[in-house]
Amino acid sequence: MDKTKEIATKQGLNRLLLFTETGEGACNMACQYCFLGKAGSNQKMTVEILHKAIDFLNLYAVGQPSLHFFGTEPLKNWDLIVAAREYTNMMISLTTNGVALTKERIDWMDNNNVKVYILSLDGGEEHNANRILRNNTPSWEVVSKNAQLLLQSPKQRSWVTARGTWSGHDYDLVGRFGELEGLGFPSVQVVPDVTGSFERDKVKDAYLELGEYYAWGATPSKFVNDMVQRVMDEENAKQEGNKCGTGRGIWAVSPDGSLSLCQLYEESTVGKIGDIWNGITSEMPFAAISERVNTYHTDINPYPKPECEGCTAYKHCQGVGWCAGINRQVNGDELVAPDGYCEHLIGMVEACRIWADKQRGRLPKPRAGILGHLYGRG
Amino acid sequence: MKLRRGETKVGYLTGDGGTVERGVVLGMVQGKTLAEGKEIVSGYEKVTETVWIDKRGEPQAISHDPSVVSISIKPGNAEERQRELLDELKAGLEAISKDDASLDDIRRALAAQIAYSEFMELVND
Repeated sequence: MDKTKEIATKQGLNRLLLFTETGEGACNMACQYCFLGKAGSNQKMTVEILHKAIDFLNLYAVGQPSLHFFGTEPLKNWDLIVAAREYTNMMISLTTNGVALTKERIDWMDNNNVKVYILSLDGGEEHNANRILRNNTPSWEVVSKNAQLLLQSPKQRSWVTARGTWSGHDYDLVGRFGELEGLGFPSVQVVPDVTGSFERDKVKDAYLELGEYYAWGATPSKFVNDMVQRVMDEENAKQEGNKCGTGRGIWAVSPDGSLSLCQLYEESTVGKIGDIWNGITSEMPFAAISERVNTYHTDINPYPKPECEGCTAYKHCQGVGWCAGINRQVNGDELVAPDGYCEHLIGMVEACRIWADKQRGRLPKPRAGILGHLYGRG
Repeated sequence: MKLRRGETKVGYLTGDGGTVERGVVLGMVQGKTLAEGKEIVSGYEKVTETVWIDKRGEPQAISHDPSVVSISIKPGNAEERQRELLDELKAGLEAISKDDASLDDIRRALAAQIAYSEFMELVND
């Protein structure tokens, strides 16, 4: 069998993450915490390379193929999104910062089945502190207005998630959720930027305030709800294992057509695996990175950091701290999660234990008899 | 690692678990009366001995019962060895990804890749 087909099948390739522009000036924003350096000469993907990437995916995808326009800011190269839809019927989605969203573009996406899956924005003052335009001006005003335009589309509203980034100098989670929900987002994820520092006690307090805000019930965040549910039945919760999955299912394509394990390795040669013309030409990253990160929290490598052994949140630790690439950027090793990750996780788990207790208190009291056993909590 | 069936022969098990070849037992009973022969043989258990070999043809296990249809073994300290090999492979990949990578770095990285592939082939065989 064709080597690329063999590897694509083994890794379950079904999606390409497209970087339509990279290097200096590739994004219309200059967010403080972006994991991309966006340095060096500017490169834009051509329509020919886009078509070749789609051909590559059609040839090697396992199951339903899909394209996700990811970086650096897809709407900056709108013509490529249109060109992709003209060339293929496969599912197309994107992650955007929302700056270049317009009513016309939203209408076009609605009519052409292009889905905005992720709109990155932080909410209010915190947004303006980190998410600034390239001319150094705050972006909340323009992005919040465009977000509301997007949410006027029933289609886009049904699948879009507001993704906020939470850096450790601000612990006002309630304010962040309030701002994003206030815009009308039904789904909100506030994801900690674990490259920075977090203090577990402050994290715990922030989640407890959030719990109180939502009356210890469900939030618009799957991330938070899932953790509360795990902790509700902590004894029977399974070890989280590795949730990173770099190299599995989704590969990143650069403007020059080169392929990387995922978006975190797009700017680094260490995770380059080949290109859309020749397929996989370097298998080494699949073993040295993908397989290696899969040894995390297994018999092979149960405690990547000495303090993992006695960690109160160990059972809920998501493998390499969500992201092997971030770990490498911070610590030089995919297996060593930044301290910020551990501090956030411990604070969150401790808060969710209290949250779960409060939630149990909201459930009906156990009832007597067989129905009590079936429907009560006895 | 799944072993392959190798040579099969008839042998005689001693009380302490050792095996005596058929030819040796035959020599012991040669020239003896039937009763004496039976007496000698009663100290042994006749078995069909099968040698199980790995993909390189090296013997890895022996069975004494024809009802054994397959044997799988796991190399000792497999997890520890896999971790070591993956760490070496990662170090090799990092080294060859640098602009100033030397021929020696490339050689070491390729050797690490081969060592890991061979080991996993052995484990998953």
